[in-house]
Amino acid sequence: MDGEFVCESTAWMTKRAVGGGNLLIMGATPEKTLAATEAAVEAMRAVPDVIMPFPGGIVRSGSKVGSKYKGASASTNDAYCPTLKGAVESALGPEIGSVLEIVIDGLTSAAVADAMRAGLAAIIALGPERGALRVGAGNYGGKLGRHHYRLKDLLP
Amino acid sequence: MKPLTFALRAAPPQRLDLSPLTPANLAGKPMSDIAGLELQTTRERVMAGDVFHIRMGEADTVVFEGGGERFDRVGAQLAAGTIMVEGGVGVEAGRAMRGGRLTIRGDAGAFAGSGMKGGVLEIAGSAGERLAGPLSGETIGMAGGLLIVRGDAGARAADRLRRGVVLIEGRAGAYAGSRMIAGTLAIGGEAGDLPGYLMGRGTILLGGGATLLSPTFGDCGEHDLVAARIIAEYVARESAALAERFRRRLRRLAGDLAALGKGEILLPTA
Repeated sequence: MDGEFVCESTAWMTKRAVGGGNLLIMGATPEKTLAATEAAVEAMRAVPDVIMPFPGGIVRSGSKVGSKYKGASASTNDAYCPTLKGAVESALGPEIGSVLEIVIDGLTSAAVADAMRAGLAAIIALGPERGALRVGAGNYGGKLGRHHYRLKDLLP
Repeated sequence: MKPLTFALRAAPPQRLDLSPLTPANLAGKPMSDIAGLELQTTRERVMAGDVFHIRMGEADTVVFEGGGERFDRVGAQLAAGTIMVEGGVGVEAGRAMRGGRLTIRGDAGAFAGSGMKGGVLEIAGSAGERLAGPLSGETIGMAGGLLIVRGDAGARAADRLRRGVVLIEGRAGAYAGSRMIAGTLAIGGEAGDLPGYLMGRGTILLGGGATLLSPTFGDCGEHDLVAARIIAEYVARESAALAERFRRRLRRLAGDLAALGKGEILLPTA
């Protein structure tokens, strides 16, 4: 509506690219969790060959692979919803009040790993008082794809 | 604009069905027709003119000067206009109302606001049991509109609530919000035993806790809920005291897990 629409008419394709690398950032309050997540996104933007495809790089309503409904391939990641702690099998302890996710798409698996490493470093640098209490990643029983990133191997 | 006024002559000899005395039914009728409207609930005939001294005015606003627990079905099927009762009422006040505003300056009996679908029902005093609830055989209770009780409510307030908002500034009896299907119920004071019993969906705010909470609700911890702040903005127009409770940090209990379990009880923290 602003006047014109501009996009690439042809785009190259690579089969080495990886979509859906992710970090789950868990904190006591929405404010602290957002601070840690924004710090991580900023650090990850400096890494070449990756994008964080969500607005601001942050996913507010994260999903898991699979659903109880046949037509839906993804559904609410209920185990990480702070307000559903008492109603579902939760992965969260009482200290977690907010969870945000960063999704990373990269041209290579190494680029995705580099971005996750940079993000983790930024979150750890901010510390638990001002930022996140816990960081995880969605693996979904290995159903998300063949690339697996182990956070312990990516620690700074 | 002068309202159409029904001033009580003396306490009626039997329970009365006041559902004919709504703005829509009175508009354009001469005094003699209005005085001849039958209100009896037994074989003894009672006409409006027998019970009330009628002062003609615009039928858009109907005022009852004086009330009592024998005044049943006041404002039933109300669709538009205003009814004001300067006193208490009996059962089924505002039953199945769809619009307009019904204000009761005293207490209301059982089934006030039963099956209402729209409009505003305000009860300045207390309400009896099954506020906004369904009658026997009905599958849903209140399905829209706003119901405010400034005093206390009896047992099973908002039973089978389907849609709309029920605000109780005082206390509520046992099983408040039982079998709720959806909608919002807010209680300022302490609720009785087992609020939200077998609720499927919907929100219950317990401003003063409850005498006994059901073990079939799961504790989801304390949160600053954005949705509660939006509800508070709406509630503040009618009740500042209840709105204040929605603005606090809220402990969320999910349930009733013995039923569908997609509802919630919200408990304000100190």
